[in-house]
Amino acid sequence: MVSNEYITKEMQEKWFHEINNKFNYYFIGEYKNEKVGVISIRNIQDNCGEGAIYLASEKFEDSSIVARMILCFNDFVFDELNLEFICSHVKRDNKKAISSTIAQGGIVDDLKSTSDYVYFKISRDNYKNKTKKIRKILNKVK
Amino acid sequence: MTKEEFLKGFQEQFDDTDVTQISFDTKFRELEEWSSMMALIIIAFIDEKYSKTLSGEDFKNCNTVEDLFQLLNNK
Repeated sequence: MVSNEYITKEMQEKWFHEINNKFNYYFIGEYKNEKVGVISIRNIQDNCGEGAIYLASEKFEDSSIVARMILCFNDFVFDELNLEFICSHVKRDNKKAISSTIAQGGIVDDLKSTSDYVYFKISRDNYKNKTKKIRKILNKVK
Repeated sequence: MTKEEFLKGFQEQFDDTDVTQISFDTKFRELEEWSSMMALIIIAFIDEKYSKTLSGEDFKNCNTVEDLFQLLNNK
């Protein structure tokens, strides 16, 4: 997370009210009655939103459940919200997140990247093309 | 399928990891670039190249590239 500051219950409730609108969508992923994590798109404008995912536990990092969660969510963003792009700022040292974003079709925008963060943009077409093989295998793998 | 071909194919699935970092003894989950998406990319690579579909359980039981290769051979 970019911010790690302490927040009170009231601050969190205020934040919930502020983001509860058509510009922000937050979902909690759940598998077999266990919370997997939060996946979101926020600050939607000009056919683009900022995507993020936070996992509840490290044990899900290697799980196909996370991949399914990401694909379901991205499908929602591109096919239901009809956005053209998902953008994201990924910490440069977070190799797993960088790898996952590239696997979703993310392209690095060097101009918007900084020394600490890599700025990715995933277009609808890139996403659909890049995830073809993953989708195919997800239908086979249990 | 030769062992070397399998290793080369496995290495090619990674964008950022230096191929010299990946050998048969490599615990692939310990690679920095490893993610849930990479796991599926590897399963897809095996499915496409060797026409063998690994289950999630099969995959979970493998730790090294060698484990994967042996699993593939015994399938």
